[in-house]
Amino acid sequence: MNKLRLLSFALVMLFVSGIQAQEVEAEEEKPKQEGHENNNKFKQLYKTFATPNQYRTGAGAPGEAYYQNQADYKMDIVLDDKNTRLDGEAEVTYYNNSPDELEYLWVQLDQNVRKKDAPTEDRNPSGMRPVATPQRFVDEHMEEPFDGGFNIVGLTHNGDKIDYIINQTMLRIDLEEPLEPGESFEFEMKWWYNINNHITDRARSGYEHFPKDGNNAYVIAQFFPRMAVYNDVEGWQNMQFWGSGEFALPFGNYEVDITVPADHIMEATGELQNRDEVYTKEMMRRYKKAKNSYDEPVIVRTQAEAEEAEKSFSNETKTWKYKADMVRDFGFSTSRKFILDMMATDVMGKDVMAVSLYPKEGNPLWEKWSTKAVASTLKSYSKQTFQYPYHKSVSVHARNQGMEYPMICWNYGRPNEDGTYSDRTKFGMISVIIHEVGHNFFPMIVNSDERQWGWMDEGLNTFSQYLAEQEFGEKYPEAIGSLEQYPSRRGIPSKIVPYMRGNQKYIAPIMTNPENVYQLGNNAYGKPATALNILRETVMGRELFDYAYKTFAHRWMFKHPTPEDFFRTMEDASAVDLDWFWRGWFYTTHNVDMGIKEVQKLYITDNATKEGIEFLERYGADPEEIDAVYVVKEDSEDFDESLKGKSVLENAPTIKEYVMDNFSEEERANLKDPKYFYQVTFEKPGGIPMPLLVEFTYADGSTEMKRYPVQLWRKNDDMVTKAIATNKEITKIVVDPNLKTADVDISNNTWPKEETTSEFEAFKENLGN
Amino acid sequence: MRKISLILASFFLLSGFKSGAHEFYLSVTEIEYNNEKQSLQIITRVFVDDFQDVLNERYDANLQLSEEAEEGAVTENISKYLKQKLRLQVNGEELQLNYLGKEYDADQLVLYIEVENLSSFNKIQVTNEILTDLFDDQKNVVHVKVNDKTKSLLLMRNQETEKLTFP
Repeated sequence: MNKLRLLSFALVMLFVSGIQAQEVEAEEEKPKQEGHENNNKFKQLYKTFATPNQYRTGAGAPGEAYYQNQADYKMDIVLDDKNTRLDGEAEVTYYNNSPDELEYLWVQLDQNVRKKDAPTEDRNPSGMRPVATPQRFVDEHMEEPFDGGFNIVGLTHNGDKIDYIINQTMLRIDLEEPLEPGESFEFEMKWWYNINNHITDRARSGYEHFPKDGNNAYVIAQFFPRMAVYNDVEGWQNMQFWGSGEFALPFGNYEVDITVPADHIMEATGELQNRDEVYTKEMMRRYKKAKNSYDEPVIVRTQAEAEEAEKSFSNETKTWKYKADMVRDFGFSTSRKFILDMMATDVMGKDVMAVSLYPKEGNPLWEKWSTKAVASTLKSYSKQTFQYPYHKSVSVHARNQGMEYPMICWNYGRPNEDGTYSDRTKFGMISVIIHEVGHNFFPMIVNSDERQWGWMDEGLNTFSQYLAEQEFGEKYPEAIGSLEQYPSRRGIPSKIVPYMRGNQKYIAPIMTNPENVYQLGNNAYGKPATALNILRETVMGRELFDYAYKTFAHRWMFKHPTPEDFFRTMEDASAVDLDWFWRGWFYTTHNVDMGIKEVQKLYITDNATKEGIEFLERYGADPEEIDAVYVVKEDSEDFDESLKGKSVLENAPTIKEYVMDNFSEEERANLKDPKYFYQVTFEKPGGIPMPLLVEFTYADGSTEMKRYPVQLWRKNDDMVTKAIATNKEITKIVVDPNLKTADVDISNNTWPKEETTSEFEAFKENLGN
Repeated sequence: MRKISLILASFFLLSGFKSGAHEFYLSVTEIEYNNEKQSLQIITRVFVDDFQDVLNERYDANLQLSEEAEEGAVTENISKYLKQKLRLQVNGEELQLNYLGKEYDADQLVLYIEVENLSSFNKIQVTNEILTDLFDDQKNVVHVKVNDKTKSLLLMRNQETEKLTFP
């Protein structure tokens, strides 16, 4: 190997000489220079990351003193379908597993964001329009706003009133005695609230009204006073709920009885305890059949039965009883309009029930794909993370929202009234089901703090969703029809480019609270999902990434991870230094832009060149006395046409002599004989350093991919020069030819420069044809 | 773009704000002056379902915007809507925008619009009210590129017009 060094000697010299020359000049021009701190893009993130401690280790794992508090709930809920009102009673037990005394407890009252005097709207600028329709004017300025906040009827401890104060969406229970470490506190609460219309309010929870048959379909969540999280990072996470930053919730065990009209069909978080009381005999029979049907869903409540029920309104009630262990939340959905189907799913050797609940308005799309999408998602995600630990996963049809809760989620995707639907509706529905079912893993089980870090569940989940969608497409080719692959909307690098190259004024780093970003979709979903996809495909490689990602999921399953726990685990489990990656992609709004600045053709000769002589003289060497070969640039005065097309040995006999003196015949046969030498200057106008992927095309039409590690940029963030020796002439060089790095400007990616047609021109040309 | 997160709509609003503050309702318009062709080239991206809703509601049309099964007088209605909602002025004169056509890109609609025979300018006034008639919280991002300089605007209801100067 080291015998080859001679051939690269000349090139090394050339590279070194370039640097020397620059430094000498700089010194002469600027006698006084300012110092600086370490601002290298590869600097470790010690200052940015929280310091590791006994709760969270430097490896990114839970530490020896890691703890989390727990909240158990026993609830009786009554849903009044006529008056769209919910009444509840709860017994809550809060366990203090922390080493700290707690003087007070914080309870979340999310519905208060919908109180008529909530400041939710006041935080946004507003103006008067010069003209408005009468309806809009009345709506905005004259109508009494809907009052959907919690009405607390009672809050007691062992029957005695508790002192409390409500600050917007947070309620503080003032304890008479502090809650000691290892102790628990029980309290009882009674409340009611008016259920909102989630369609007109565009809300996560509420009802949809169907005017044709007069019925409602409910998707209900955030319906009870939920304990806030107390932990080593935030103390109490009691940042107010404003609407965008979602939820931070402790794990606990739930027993929930829900009373609804007797003709309703329900699904909810948890195991149904009294199925034979609430199902008909026929439904029980079909349910048992579904437990053994692994390929096709079994309809447990038929469309005909649902349509029959729609015609009347039962004044009787039924109580559905659920139990759920180790969940962080509880949601339920109920209506007399619902059709129900189920299919057994083998998730890594464990039977899980995939379930769908939808009104006839969802058909024929829902009966065909919903349950299959649920089952496929559980399998894909389990493979990426851990075996799905719950016994079921339910997909509920909601007209225009997607939202996740443990074991149950709401998903959009409604066909036209005549039952037809476009591909967009179909793929939109399958994608949202994969996404929301996927949320069982992040954040329902890997329980991150959504209030603070929207990206931690949405970004990870959207990344995993991309992989799960692709697998769904492979499993059900009939679903994707003539397409080559499942049409994922996010994850593919080129799709994030319009956002990343946009005006910096409207971009925020991923590490920004969801309430304060300009484009939540890109910030919390698209960019982190794409960054992780690039990390897997281009930076770490699948094998290293997949192991580290799985390690993170296992470490933090049923726990509360922070962003640093994720960042550290990905490094710790892979031996890939990623501080530069987290800094660029997660902590800044920089983007990726790499390209080719210049390509010089070089020749090797024995004849001393002007530049070569100057170089040697600067070091006091006499060119006459040194055995040296010289590099000639094609555009320099030392260049001679006769150098073209010859091998190194022909142009520089000195090398030939050296080789003959020092190498055996056999060794000589194994030496490379490069004929073409290039010096390529790569530029990096973008702020994020990335591995440099380069495709070389040779005169014979063959191509070769070369990957330079990201460390290429560690000493020069703007530009770097590489010498390339080859025995075939290079005719074309392209940086990132397969668009794998989200390069925001590809006009500088090709040598020789190619005229790129703009998107507009391309469209116009197509029109002409 | 709104539901840039359709898939991601898990962020859909909890609350009943009458004009919510979430960032899901967004369009992006790129306006570029092509010196050589003396033309103003405009690409606007909107969400297909929003755009279908606004045309149907506004014009009582019964359009279906879909790559595989389009229905109704789609071109006429889009053209009419754009004329009303996207307006440009150069040197105090209203420009005649010519809607060329559209492409579907997953859940987005890409609209191509052109103003031909326009001599170079350095002041332009942009009005973008696209979808603000349907959504109170619609936001429209506009990038304007003239002489290789790009300036960006964030337009919305009550702030639908801005002027830009290019040196």
